[in-house]
Formats: sequence, C-alpha cells, structure tokens
Amino acid sequence: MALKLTSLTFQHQKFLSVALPPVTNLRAPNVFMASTLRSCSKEVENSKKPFSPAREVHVQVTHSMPPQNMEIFKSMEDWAEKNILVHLKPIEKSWQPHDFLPDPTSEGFFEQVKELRERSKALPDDYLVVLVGDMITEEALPTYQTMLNTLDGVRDKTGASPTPWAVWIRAWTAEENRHGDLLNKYLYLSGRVDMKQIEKTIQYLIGSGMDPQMENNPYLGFIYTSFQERATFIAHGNTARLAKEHGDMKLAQICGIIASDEKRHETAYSKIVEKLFEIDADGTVLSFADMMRKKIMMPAHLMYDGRDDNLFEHFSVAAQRLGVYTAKDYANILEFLVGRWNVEKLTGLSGDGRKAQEYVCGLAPRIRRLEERAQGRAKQSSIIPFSWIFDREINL
Amino acid sequence: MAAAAGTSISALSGSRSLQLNQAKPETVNKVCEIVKKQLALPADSAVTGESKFAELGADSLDTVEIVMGLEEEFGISVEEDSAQSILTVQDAADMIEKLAGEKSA
Repeated sequence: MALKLTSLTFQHQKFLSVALPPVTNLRAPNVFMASTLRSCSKEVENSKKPFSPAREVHVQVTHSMPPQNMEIFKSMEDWAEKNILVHLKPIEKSWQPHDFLPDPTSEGFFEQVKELRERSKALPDDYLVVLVGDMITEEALPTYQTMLNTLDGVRDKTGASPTPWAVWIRAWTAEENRHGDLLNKYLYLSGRVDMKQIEKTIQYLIGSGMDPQMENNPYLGFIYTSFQERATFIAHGNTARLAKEHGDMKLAQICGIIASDEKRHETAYSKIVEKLFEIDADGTVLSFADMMRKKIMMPAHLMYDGRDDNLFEHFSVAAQRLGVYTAKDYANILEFLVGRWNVEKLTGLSGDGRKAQEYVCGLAPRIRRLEERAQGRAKQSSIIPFSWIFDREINL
Repeated sequence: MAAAAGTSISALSGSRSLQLNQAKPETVNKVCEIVKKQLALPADSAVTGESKFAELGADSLDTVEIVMGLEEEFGISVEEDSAQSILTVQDAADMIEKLAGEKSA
C-alpha cells in the first residue's frame, strides 16, 4: 500500500487535514470496511452512492475498550456529577443568539441590520471563508452528539438517561447548539455569503458524519474532545481578534462568547482525562499516543459543497494562512495537554506505556521542527474560488 | 555457456531485472543508516534496499522526517510528488541519485 506522507514539510496544512494511516487497523475483532466512495481509486469512480462521505474514511474499528473498563465509568458517576456537571452554565444565566443579533421586535431593527451589513463589508474574503468554515463545523452538531453517544460506558442509552454522563452529553449539545445558530443568523444577515451553498455544505457534512477513530472507546473519545475543545477555543479566539482588527466589534463579541464556551468545555473534558490518568495511567497514556498517531482529525474533515473535491483542504490552508488555526497551534495544544496531564511524570507504566509516554512527550518538538522547515520553503500560492462566497477567489 | 552466464547474472541481482540506473551501494547504505537512526533500530537490524518503510515500522511522520534527513545529508530538495512514491530504501536511494545528478548537471 502506498505510503501517504503527512507532507508537513511540503504543505503544512495537510498535517491538520485528512492523512490516512498507511496500514489497515486490524486491532479489534470487529473490523469492517466503511463505504469509501468518491475516492481517487478508479474502481470506485462509477459506483457513487448518495449520502456517503465524499472522501475516504478509515477502516471502521469498534469497541476497542475492554468491556470490563465500562465499570470504571460507572464508578466515576458520582465524581462526574460533582466535578464535571459544575462546568455547565445554568440556562437562566446563559447567553442566547438573540443577545447578539438585531432585534426584530424593536423599532430599530432595520437600522441594526443596516449597521451589521455595513460592518461586514469590511471583512475580507479570506476571513469570511474561514468564518464560514467554522460556522459549518458548528452546524454539524448532530454528528458530534452522535459521536459522544457512540462511546461505551458513557453514552445516553435512551435519550433521557439520568446518568451524569448522559446529562453532560445532552447539556453540552444544548450549549453548542447556540454557536451554529448565532453564526448562521449573522452570516445570513450580512449578505456577504452564498447561504444556499453554505446550507448545501452543511447538509452534505451532516450526511457524511466524521471519522475521528474513537472506536466506541471513551478514553480515546475524551482525549479527542479535550484536544478539539482547546482547538476551537483557539480558533474562535483568533476569529474574534481578526474581526476586531477589521472593525467589526459585534462579530468580535460573538466569536469571543463562543470561545468562552469552548474554554469551559475544554476544562471539563480535560478534567475527565486527568481522572482517567489517575485511575488507569497505562491505559490512558496508550490511548493518548494512539489518538496522536492517528492524528486529531478536524470535525469537518469530510466537508463538501457539491463542487470542490478538496474543499476541506482549501479551507484548512485558508485557516493556516490567516493564523486562525495552524500547525503551530496543533503542536501547542499537544504540548499543553502533555503538561496538563503530567504525562512526563507518569510512573509504573508497562513497556508499551513507556513507549507511548516517550512518543507523546517527544511529538510536539518534532511537529514544530517540520513546521519550521515547511515555513522555510518557497511557497507557491494558488488562487482558489470558494462557492461559499459566490466563487470569489482567495489567495492561498 | 551463454545460458549459464545469463542465469548467474540474474541470480546475482536477485528478483530484480538489471536496471542500469540503480543507485550505488554507498547511497543505499547511507539511506539504511538514516532510516535505522530515525526508527531507533539496532545497528545490526536487517535493513536493505528491498526494505519497505511501512514494514520497518515507520509511520507517516517518520517518513517525512526520513526524507528531510535525506535532503540534509545529500543536499537535495524533494518534491511532494516524488516523495509520495518512495516505498522502499531502494526507491529513496534511486531518487537521491537522480536529484543529485540533476543538481550537478
């Protein structure tokens, strides 16, 4: 099988985007091929199935956590209730999209809309593309609630399960739901973007799902979400900063309030993993190394707009070029988590555990070195149209 | 006899047919060294021209770093397209000599 390089040296954004592992994962007994449609291989070209991911997904591995470990999460329920649910904000005190949008019941509604459109005229196209990509990611929330409910030991079994884990999953989803709503309404009112194309992309994305390779395993799942929440905190923080630079204070506020939610969520998820390191250091460090080897896939890695087969890659490059989310951020997040969870100081590990510890602790510097090399190379820029902005082109 | 000579030549080169533009053994050895170092393999481990990176335990990050190491060692620059087609140590060595040859041309 051809070795797919991460190409960090050559195109650093690829490291953040889809990079399929070179070997089939035969770790667990229940392994089966996912539908891989619209892939590059010729044999699949003529058998396009609708409602399938536009890009290849990995061989789907399931239930990689030993069933006896489900006990761990049962025994953590009291602790979760006291230590994790506290990071949810009471709904009566929570912000709502209404707080940041023109108020249709007010006399000044049309004026407010006019002001919003004036402010967004100043937003450059490359910024808009990244903001839209973030909004599309947020709007694919059904996928993320699904992902959490695939995890053994913590899933919401009925839709109204009273366990603290299930309560967290539902309430987390409810908090996140406001993000997509708010960004959607803002972008809609701005008139700067092609809502039909964006809405199409959202429909494609929810239909495709995502493939972070959590394997129904909450160790893998919570490590992924810890990383991901920090990543979105950083990304929205950057879009807030850039909105301010372009003079759109309201948009800066919006991105900022979303970022503050993500920070709270990051705190909660990383606390869970911290507890897992206490209970089962070996298993958790092995899981950490596993997720890092597989690379933390972005939630919208399967995005497609009906036109651009490399949409996610183009979006990632735009995010990198604008400094919204970069390979450096990836390395920083990894380093942060290694510190947060005291991975360097873990003791009593198995042989494999020690190897995993070494891998994880040494990974951030390797990524940074690759990134420096990539920066040092002459970059060819290309001009890419995005359907989200009526095929206007941006420089990548 | 011609037939016997033909047989012994193909026996010497193993399963590959003789390719006139195969890399020099020194290049192959240097690549093996760099690969062993990157993958922290013991000095006496069996790494040859035929060795596939994936089978030696290289993940995608290792492979990028190996290519980087080769670039530094041989003073060449590898395009992504060429890099993607490197599956074995021999592939790497052949590519190095091709690029080094182009450089001095």
